[in-house]
Amino acid sequence: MTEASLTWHRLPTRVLVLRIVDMLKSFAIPIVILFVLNNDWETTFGIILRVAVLLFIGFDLLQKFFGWRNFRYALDEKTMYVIEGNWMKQEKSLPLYKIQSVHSNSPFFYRLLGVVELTFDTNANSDDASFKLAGVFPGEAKRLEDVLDQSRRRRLDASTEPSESEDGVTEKTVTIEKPPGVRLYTLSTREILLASLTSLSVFAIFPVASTIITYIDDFINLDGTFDQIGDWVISASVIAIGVLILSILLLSVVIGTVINFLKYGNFVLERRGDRIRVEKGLLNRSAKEIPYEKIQAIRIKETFIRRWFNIIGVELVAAGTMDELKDESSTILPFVKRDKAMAVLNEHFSQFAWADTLHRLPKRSLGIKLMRISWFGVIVTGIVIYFFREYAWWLLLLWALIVGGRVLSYYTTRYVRNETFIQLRTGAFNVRSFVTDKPRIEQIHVSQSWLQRRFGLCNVVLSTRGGLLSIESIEDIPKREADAMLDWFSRYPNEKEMKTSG
Amino acid sequence: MSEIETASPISGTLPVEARTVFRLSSAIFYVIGLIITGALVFAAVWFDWPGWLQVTAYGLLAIAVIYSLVDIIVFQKWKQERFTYLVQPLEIRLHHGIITTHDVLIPMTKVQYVHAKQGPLLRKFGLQTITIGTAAGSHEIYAIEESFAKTLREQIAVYARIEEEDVV
Repeated sequence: MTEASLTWHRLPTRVLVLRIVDMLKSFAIPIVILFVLNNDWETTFGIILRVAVLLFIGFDLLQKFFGWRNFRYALDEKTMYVIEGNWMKQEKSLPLYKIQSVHSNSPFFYRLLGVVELTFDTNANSDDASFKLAGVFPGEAKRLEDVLDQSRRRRLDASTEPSESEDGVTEKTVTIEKPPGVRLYTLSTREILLASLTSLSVFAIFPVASTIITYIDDFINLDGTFDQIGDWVISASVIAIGVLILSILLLSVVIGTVINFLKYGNFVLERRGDRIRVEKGLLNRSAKEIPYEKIQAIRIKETFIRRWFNIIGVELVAAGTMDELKDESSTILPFVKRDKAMAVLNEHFSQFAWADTLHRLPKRSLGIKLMRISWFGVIVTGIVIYFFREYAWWLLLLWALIVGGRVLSYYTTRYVRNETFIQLRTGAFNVRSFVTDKPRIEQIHVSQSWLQRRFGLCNVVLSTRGGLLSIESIEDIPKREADAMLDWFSRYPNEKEMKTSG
Repeated sequence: MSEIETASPISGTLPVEARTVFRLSSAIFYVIGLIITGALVFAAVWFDWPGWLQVTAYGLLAIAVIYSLVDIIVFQKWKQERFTYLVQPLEIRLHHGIITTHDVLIPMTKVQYVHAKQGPLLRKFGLQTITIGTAAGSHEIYAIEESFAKTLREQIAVYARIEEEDVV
């Protein structure tokens, strides 16, 4: 690469400011302790410690400065070049065709100063699979994305000759369409409110509050206060206590709502050509992209409470993307009414078709589920009865949950399969549904335990390319059905070479 | 292409020597277990521990002896006998397991690599273990005869169209 022929850019100066602010933020606690609360320059050790900390901070500042100064990037029509490194100068080049998607992330301070952080994601699974420009102006981000778009379109136009895709699946779904994006969904304020109300985290305030109170109690003696509260509770009327509990719950709803608004505020789901784009967040705003051809499966999640309100969450299982993307950002609809979500899915993700009717498990599956020994339950029961006999009543609740969970899991577990698609629905209190198609399945694993063999049942595990999150399993389905799934998945239909023993 | 697709499948079970390897390698593990439980019994008797502890120790030793014998004599034999594989041009099927049985089906297009490995025990018996890797994990065909392992590995690599450099 010829350095002269390219125009090299540095990240804007304010990125340096941001990094320094960031660093000071992480040193805030030691600085406050050493120089504000306990500014003691008397003892030798104190002096050495403080000088060392100051030197370290100064060194880090220099490092940050030169790191910023030495980082330069350039772009031509086909490749992106980066030069970086303080001690060891590194030159990297990244062919544009390898870049799968661009994610932008703008934490609050970045937004204050008007810069965004760009992450370029390649389809490699190694450490240098992704690549960051930590802070560029939006105009520059736009320019970079345009260059990428152009390179992508050139490649699509030129793809009359067979291109180098890994398998036949990928080509099929690529549609040449011109961005700008089509808006698929935006969350309304009402939805976020409803989601906050139907979240179980409403009740999390009690354990959280008690932890905080005991924590404070370690430092400041709150005993007296608690006695007073105790006296008050004893003397107060039921109404007063009810009001107190209600207001605590209300407070936690408010907190939950604020968190949800910060996290999902201005949520936009967009389709730009052959990619899906999710933008969200009020203070920290992030935008993630998932190429259509990387989608391996679609998963619908329903939590216990939201199920009653017909609110579901939809996430994409995508292959070969960053871990960050795999976790939460593949959520394309966090909490949306079922009919609206299904409308979006059916219109824009029609490569995966959802079935209307699914098969239920046979009665004997319920039998086997109830017959299994719950080791967890047995151990907890043993411990409680031996050590805390006075709390033994709570065991009833525990066993009700265990048995109830098993019965529920019998009722929720369903499956269906047609020529191309396979759909599984599993879970007990929280229900998840999963759909994928035959070409995207990496492997099918059928296992049968000793007990299951007596009942003619087995477990099936499906894996697609999306890493750990893409593994979906269904338990206690009839062996005949599992064998049929294997036959369906097999490239050699109607052959029974492998005799199963037992 | 069509020539490959009609090629005859390679199927088989593990050779009888594999049984010996399985037995030896699990025996090492059980000897350690027996030494520990034996030491427990010795300590219980020598230091005159309370009666119920002595009984427990003897019980543990008995369980360890019986279980290791059953495992070495019966289970390891079943492990060898009940492992079957079927390599066809378009897919690989594995069937194994004693108490819990497993059936795995991997399409050839999803196979990313094939490795062979050999520990000291396997080398002594001229056997190799083949590892078949996909994006979703890996599977092993344990302890098959060395020269056959080589052909099988190369065959899978050809079917899966893996470049030569990936085949280690």
